[in-house]
Amino acid sequence: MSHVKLSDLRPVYVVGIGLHRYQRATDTSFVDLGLTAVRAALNDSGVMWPQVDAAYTSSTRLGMAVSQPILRHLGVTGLPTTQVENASASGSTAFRLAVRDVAAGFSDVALALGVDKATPGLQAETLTGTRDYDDGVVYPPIHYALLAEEYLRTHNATAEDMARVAFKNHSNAARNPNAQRQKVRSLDEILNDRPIAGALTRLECCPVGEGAAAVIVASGDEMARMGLSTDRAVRVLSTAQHSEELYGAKSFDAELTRLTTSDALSDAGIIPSQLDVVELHDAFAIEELQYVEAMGICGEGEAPARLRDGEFDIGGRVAISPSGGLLGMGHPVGPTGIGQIAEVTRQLRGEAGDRQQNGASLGLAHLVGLGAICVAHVLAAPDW
Amino acid sequence: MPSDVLALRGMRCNRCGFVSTPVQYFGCQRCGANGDTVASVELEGLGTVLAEVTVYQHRDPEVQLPLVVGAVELDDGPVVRARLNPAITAGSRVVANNVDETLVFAAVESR
Repeated sequence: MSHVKLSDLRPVYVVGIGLHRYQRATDTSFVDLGLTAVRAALNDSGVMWPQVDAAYTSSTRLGMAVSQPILRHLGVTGLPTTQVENASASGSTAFRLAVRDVAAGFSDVALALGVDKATPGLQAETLTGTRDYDDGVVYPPIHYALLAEEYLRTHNATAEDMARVAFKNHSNAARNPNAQRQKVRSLDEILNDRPIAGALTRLECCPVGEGAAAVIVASGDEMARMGLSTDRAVRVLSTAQHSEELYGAKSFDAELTRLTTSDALSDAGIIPSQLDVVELHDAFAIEELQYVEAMGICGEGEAPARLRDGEFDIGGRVAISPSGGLLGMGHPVGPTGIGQIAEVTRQLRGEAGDRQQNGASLGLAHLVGLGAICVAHVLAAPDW
Repeated sequence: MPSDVLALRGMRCNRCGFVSTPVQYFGCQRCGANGDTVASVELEGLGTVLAEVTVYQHRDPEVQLPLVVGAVELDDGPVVRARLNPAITAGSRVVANNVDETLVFAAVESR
């Protein structure tokens, strides 16, 4: 049985983006974080709040019913609001749901808002009643340190090759006023920073803070009805999502990425070499190397050399993590996936300033999350 | 069997043959069988190290550092993450040991 693809339905466009800077924990209310992002997105789009038909709010550490405490302060409209949680990929999922609503005609204009505070989260996996043999000792930094050890050894790559990912992403984030970390770091600084596990140092692990990001999507028809300009409208070409299967000893994040991005690219009718910008799940530096290969952006084992040659820099063949990624921009979780869409949108509009990948026409946003799950989107520039 | 070798237990699905660990009766991850169709089994504690790292920092203050952790592919199939005795490298053959009620993989004595 074949499912409907986004390209079978009416065109959907990102018409507005807005963020609250990602930052370390502060006393700022999540309401202020969220409102800052939504108001910026409304201003950017020219859409008035009463014109928004539906809202999907992604959050992971604020408990139940996050939407209304924020959105009612824009003036209540009675719109349907839904909270979305899919671990790290919560924001990507909220965006996917907003896009599908509009594509299918359930809504004409929808908001995807991500907001989170840096409080400890609760994972269902810890409540199952079964105990793994590691007694919970292995948590993400250790999981990715193990992955890094295996990858670097089997691909004849070095700790420096991995650190180069962090060097690039910190440099990109230094040009991003919404990034949590805005400091250029030398390769030496990264390599000699506080060791966490294996070859991973602190600067090669993403900061998990607070923040907010908002994206407004609309149908082409509605944009015409509302008199919105199409000059800055970024088309959502495809959306894809999968959950983990059984892969034996293979990296499940890589296998999930392989399948999900392949779906997103083929549904968009493009091949990896056509991508100009990519925002991916670089929570730990090793991941970027693993995923660019799994996505087919380069061959298996080629990522370290391509990175070294500058292919993934802003200005290179394809800009990977131009926002600074999770490593540099940060990973406040709820907002992250939506922040990625905002960055890709900026790039495809030609409005990324000194982070601009010149001539960017096609972009991919990708995240994985506990579960494990993977969500990917392909977007196209207004004149594509 | 030496008294410090830890008997690892897992599940074998009698419908599809999938072997997994730890013991749980929720159901087979490969085919969904549960109830009488799945059984708790003792696993051979032997395996090969796929990757190993030293941990220098941990979110749990109770964890004693530094700590060596590895991914071990058991001969029976499942990949297990657990503590390793220090100085074990990837590719080594290891056996599950019980050290103070904790699973630690140690190098198999070469014969």
